[in-house]
Amino acid sequence: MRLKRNKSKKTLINQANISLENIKSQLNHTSDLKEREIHSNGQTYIILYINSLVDQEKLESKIIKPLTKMENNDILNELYSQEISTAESNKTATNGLLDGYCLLIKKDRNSEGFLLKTNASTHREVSEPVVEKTILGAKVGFVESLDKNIFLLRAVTKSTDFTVKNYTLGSSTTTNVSLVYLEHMANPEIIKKVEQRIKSITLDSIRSEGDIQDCIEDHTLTPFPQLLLTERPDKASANLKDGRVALITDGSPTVIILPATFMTFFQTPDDYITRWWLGSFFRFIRLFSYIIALILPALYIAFVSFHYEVIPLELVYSMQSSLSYVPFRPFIELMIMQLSFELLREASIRLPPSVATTFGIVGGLVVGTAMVEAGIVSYGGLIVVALTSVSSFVQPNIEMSSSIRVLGFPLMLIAAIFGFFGIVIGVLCVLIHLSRLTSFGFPYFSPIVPLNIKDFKDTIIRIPSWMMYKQPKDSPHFKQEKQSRKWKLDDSEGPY
Amino acid sequence: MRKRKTKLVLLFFILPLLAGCWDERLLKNSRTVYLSGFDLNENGDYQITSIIRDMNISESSRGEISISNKLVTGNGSSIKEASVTIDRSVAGNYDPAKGRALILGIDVAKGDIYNVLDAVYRDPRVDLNAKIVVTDNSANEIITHLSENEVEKGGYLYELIHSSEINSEIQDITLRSIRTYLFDEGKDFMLPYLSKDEDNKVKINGVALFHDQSFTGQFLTPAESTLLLLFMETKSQQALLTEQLDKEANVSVSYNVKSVSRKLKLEKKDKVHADILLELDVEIVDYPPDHLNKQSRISFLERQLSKILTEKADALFKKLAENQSDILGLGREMIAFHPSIWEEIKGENYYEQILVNPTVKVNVRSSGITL
Repeated sequence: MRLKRNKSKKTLINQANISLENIKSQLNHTSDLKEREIHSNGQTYIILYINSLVDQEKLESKIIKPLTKMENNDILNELYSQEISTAESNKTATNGLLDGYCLLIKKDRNSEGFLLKTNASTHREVSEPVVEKTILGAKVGFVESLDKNIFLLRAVTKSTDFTVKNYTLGSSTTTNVSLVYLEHMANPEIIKKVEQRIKSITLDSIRSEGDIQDCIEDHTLTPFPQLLLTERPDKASANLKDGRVALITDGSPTVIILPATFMTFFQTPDDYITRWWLGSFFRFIRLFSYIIALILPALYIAFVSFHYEVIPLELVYSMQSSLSYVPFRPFIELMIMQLSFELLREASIRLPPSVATTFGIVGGLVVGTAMVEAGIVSYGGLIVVALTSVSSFVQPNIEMSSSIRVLGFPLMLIAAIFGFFGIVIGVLCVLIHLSRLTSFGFPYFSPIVPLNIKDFKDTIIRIPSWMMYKQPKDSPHFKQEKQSRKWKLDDSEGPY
Repeated sequence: MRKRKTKLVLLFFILPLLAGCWDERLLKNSRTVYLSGFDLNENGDYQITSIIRDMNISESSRGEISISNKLVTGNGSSIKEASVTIDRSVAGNYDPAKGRALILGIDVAKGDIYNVLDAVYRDPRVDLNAKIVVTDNSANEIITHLSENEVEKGGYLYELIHSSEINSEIQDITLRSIRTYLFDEGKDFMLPYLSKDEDNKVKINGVALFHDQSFTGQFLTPAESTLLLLFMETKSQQALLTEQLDKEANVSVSYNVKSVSRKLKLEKKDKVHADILLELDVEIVDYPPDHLNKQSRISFLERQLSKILTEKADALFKKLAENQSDILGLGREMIAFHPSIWEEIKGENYYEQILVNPTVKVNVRSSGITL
């Protein structure tokens, strides 16, 4: 059966700008650019393609074979290719070749050029996400193909509102980027802003989605991420349904979600799968651990170098006993420990999983205890650093947990100089900074600043989904029937 | 403009660093005091005795903890001077802030105790929940004894005092609460009275009565002080009392006071008459003859107990009057509700003008057998 054609049959009005020689020279006569002549039905056709980008099988069976058996020279109808378009200029022709199309030209008239889709795909199968693991969530992660990612997203977001807009970025090498949103859910102003910002990207080449992120985020000098990166289609889809916008980059298994607020980074798909109070509890744990990871090292320094009178008496003696062997100030002590943990963390990313386990034991346990016994750090310091890194691993988002690392060190320094007073000032600065941040014009620290208690229901806690019928402020077109538990009112029979 | 802004920001960053008042106190350099006591020596100088505790977590034997107590003493004509003397003799900074109990030697207690406490109050880091006790001897002796014998338990003295407080045997007094009593003209206080018994054990032997800011020399037994605490309506978690009903048959009854209500009437005649009616709801906890299901037995107990307690209360208030120790705070009561009477009698020894007439009424509410 013939596949659906994207382009309508239209007569080729613009004539003959395609020149084979020109295209070849544009591609620098690269060795994998192949040319083939085929005689069919009294016509001579030339097929031009880049060997490495084209699926040979497809080319054989879908293009060359039908071409030789063609009876009435109607290329648009006789060929089996999934996508056929006309090449209007040398530029579109070369771009098509680079995307894995092959160029078909009738030799004699030297005018009509057709681009036929024959691209090879080496993309891997969909597999479970590696970084963002969940307990009960879908076991599907984005892959490196743009088309496949949009498919994955559409599969869990069936709606006529689902809209895709394609952009090609980069001037010397090009990268395809798709903007995905739900038409009646997303804020038109934000879409306008995103489009405007994407269009203004004039980078020479796009290395990864990080380049795009750098170009479109509101504030570049902050440690807080303003765009949510995810490799989970279910998370991306849930965010689309909340009225956010997704930005998919070709060749990257990570999708950018925007605008993101501070609280977005503490949500996981598991929150919505488990029952609501459990989800709320986990969210509390994450928020709590964020605060712990941020200020615990600073608190420890302030405790042992300024305010040890607030430590309970029994603890004072045991802390003192292990501290008395440490030759460094508490700040230096914790810095040594934190830096060695950072080293461990960096090193374990590069290691193969089988070695990483051994490495974790040797690095974490052996070095940790040996450091205490050698009197480089105290027991208290070791406990604090271990707790801090465990707390930072609780964060579902890597970028958010890195912000702790960036902010933790200045807080430790200020605590070492000014004690509790310094911590208060430092935390105050962080809070003020958070309140001033925006993500695509949307206040970053909402619903806390500006305070909107109604929106707490799906940010700090998660209330049951049937109770979420009032729209949150950041998605103006959210609609939900008022009561999903009407059966309870109708159910007059009661338990039997 | 921009340049000026950066300069200003720089200035604000540098300013706090220039102040030079870095008040860092490293925990590892401090010698934390665990218990300290104050005495007056023969020359009239103050003597501080402190226990500095060191804990050693042994690394070779897997975190085994060994505790060593170091006894330090210092003399000086003021408390501060004495503590500076100690500071010179210990490695690190002598820090009395974490001490949870202060012991006043009898000589110090008999003088103005504020002379000792002033230096303590001036230190902002001192634990205001520390307990204060008076000893019948010198504080030095008690502390020396404690440092030798009660090494393992953290805060031994503190726990000792705390359990007496729970049993309503002593008034709950901390460094914070004592200050109001010290400067209150219409109210006195009592402190736990510590002594060594025949077995060489340190124990709380009642309470020391104070008048104004000094120890009167007189003390109450734990039972008396419980009764007094009931009159103050400051019963703690439990208040157990035992009375002997029949000397020959050796019948005693123990009861726990569940609730207290006090009615106080002040009247000015030739003296100020304070009629106090104390109603106690009690629960019998130990009464071998039993038969508490009979109303007659209960009325008998109520009558007997009321009689005994009223007698005891009479004796108690006589004792207080002798020492002019207004622990009940009758003066404060008059300042608040009868200022005209107070105007007439106020002065150093206003308690002489007050005649207390206590009546105790006991209601047995429970036989003590609960499921």
